[in-house]
Amino acid sequence: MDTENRYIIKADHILPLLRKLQMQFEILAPIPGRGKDILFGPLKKIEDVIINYNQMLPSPKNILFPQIEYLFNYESKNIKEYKPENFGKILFGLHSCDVKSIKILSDFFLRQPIDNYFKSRLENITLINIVCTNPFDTSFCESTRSGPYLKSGFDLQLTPMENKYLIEIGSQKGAELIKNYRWFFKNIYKTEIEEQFEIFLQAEGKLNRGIDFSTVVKRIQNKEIEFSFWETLALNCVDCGSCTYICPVCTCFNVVDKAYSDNTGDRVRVWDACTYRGFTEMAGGSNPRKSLAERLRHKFLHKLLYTIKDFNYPGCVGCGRCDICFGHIGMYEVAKKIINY
Amino acid sequence: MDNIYLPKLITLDNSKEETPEIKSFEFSFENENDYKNFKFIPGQLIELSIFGYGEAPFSVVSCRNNKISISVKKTGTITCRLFELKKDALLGMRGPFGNGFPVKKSQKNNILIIGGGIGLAPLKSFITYILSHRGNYEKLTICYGARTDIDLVYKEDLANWPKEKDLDLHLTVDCPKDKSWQCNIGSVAALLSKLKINPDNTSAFICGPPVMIPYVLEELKKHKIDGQKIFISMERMMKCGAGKCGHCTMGEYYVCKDGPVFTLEQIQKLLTIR
Repeated sequence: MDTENRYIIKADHILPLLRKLQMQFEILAPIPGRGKDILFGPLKKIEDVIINYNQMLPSPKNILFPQIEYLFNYESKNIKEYKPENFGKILFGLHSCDVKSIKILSDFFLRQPIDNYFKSRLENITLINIVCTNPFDTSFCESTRSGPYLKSGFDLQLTPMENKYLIEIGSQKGAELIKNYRWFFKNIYKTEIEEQFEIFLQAEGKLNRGIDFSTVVKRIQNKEIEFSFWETLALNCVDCGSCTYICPVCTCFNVVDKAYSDNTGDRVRVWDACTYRGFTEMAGGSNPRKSLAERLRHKFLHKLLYTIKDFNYPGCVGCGRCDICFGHIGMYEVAKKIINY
Repeated sequence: MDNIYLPKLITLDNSKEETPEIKSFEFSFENENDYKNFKFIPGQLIELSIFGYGEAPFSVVSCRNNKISISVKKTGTITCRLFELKKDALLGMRGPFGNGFPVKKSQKNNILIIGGGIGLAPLKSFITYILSHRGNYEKLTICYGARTDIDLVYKEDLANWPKEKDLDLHLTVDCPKDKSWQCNIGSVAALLSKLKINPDNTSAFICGPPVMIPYVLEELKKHKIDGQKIFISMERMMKCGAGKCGHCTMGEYYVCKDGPVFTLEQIQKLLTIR
């Protein structure tokens, strides 16, 4: 095993490290929200950071792909592009699955033609995830190979151990960060790598849920899933769109103009949901996906067939966030239903 | 690197009434370089911006001499606003998007054009292309229909096309308003049933209202034209034109990027999963 790209940092040294990093970067991390909520947002006071969080955080999707993005301003003949802020950001304390979700978003937004807004944001962020040693009840990240720990894709990965963290380098960006703050990190013993391996196994063992995605995909491809399946699901759907907003990899958006006067305004893109009736409705009223069943089917087939066809992985990171659906139309339950259909 | 969401500026030059509901609009490029860089294949689309109102996709009817033209049916917010605009109004344009018609692949073929209503707009750019590269194509047959004779678009072209060599134009309307209407009455599909077609050497190109398409396909099936040689130009809600926003998805395809022109074979595959 590789001792070179791994270091140890004392748990007590995390805050001082963040304090140093804050001089160079904007840090986004788990912070207290209202009540018992934990949010993922800008860390203003270092002491606020919540490292041992025990609830699912909102996905960091909006950091790279904001819910409302100003594309450009127009004023008669002047069109002025809005450039995303270009200072370095560290996303600290991400769930492992969210690092994978950013990889999925990147593959999509950076394929031709490239989305500049996403690209310039991505260039400026460093991803630091914490291995989920206590995965959540609703997660099935092992099935999507996006957790509870990662083999690649991160800049730095922290594995919590007793009073210390094992820190792994996953990229050049990560390596530089370690180099610049080398005095925080100790060299690692081989036994600590073995310890890390144990922690990985234990974390995997704690996962309650698993889905064999290849079976799900095969059943759909073999046309075993009849349309009535989606019609039954649709009976429980109120078309609120929450599943797409909360999903770390859903990317559909709408583009609208925000006019300030006859010849000035902004063009803005906002998150949209493919399950909404108006999503495919054309002027004049014709709608290729009129029924909610058709739209739900499209949403799931996009994640389960089309994304796999384009990128070789499902459009899901197994985080289980879509479990919030009170109609039970989250990915896990739907996939289970497809397997048992 | 270019930002795919930034429109190029164009100004409204003139408009022409085709039918009471449909107008053709001609725009000039503000910047000549934008015109030079605008390389378009018949059947491709643009996103037209009316600042303050938003964007909508339209088929390019023609693009020459620093000018670009489209035909528009007054239907939604953007098209209604476009109908109100005066000469020299400033607009934006992005594109061209999509694959367009297979102009090269269908060379040396008899070309069968099937249009309904404003669906003739994308097809017209292809017809114009064929007429200016006449030697590359065999016989050109155009079947075009609308609700009434008043609703037929490009009336001047409809009068001129039959004068071209090796060109058959068949017109039909559902219910003629003009008592002196000489052409066919009925659907475009009915028109097709009367034609003699050599299935081996014919490529068919279809664009029209969704209701027309299944009947037309039924007739083409009777004529035994291969599914790979039937091309349908699809219409979808579109926002980005870059295969990102998701609005125009049709199964695994993005109509703005992989389409708008699909073979019947491609579409039939989708129908089994949808």
